[in-house]
Amino acid sequence: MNAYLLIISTHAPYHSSAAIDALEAALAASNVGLDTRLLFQSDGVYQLLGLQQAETIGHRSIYKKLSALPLFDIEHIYVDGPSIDARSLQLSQGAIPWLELNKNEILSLIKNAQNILVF
Amino acid sequence: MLLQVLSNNALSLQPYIEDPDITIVLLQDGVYLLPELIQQIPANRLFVLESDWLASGLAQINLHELKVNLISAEQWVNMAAEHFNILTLQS
Repeated sequence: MNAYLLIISTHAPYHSSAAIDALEAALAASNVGLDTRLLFQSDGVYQLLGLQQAETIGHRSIYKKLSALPLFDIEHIYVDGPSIDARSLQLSQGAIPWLELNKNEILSLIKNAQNILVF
Repeated sequence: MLLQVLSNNALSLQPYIEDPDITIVLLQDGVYLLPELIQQIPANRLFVLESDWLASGLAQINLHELKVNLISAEQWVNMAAEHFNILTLQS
């Protein structure tokens, strides 16, 4: 397996800078040629809700920004399945091509990463 | 008492939600607690700031059906002015 950077995004989208910091770190890493993978875990899964109307609080939709990740060569996007279940969310694939992982798959993803950044 | 909840840490609410006189306003990340709180608290004591609710992406949940009150920022300020005392949970 190729060496890759794993970025784990664990915060809801708008009321702290953590979600956007994770996204910007992923874009920056990809921009310098690193194989970058993104995992949404814990409250980070809220970023994948497709009906966000962020303009009501003066933000731009992070969902729309995440939709552009494949254009920046970030094509490995994962979601922690237990985090979705714990929040009783109904997430659909929509515009972001993510893959749901179980606990063991996430452990493997983390174990095989060269570096990990958690936001 | 008016309890303003800005965090989705459910544990931080537990000491307060059994008070039958409490009114709860969910703001910012606090709106993510609504699906859980609606199971525990009568809907007429729950208020959600509409702008934060719409931004959250949870708007597929029909609040009208649940009889939860969506409020504007102006209504929230009025509630804060009308209540004594006010407790704000941010984490």
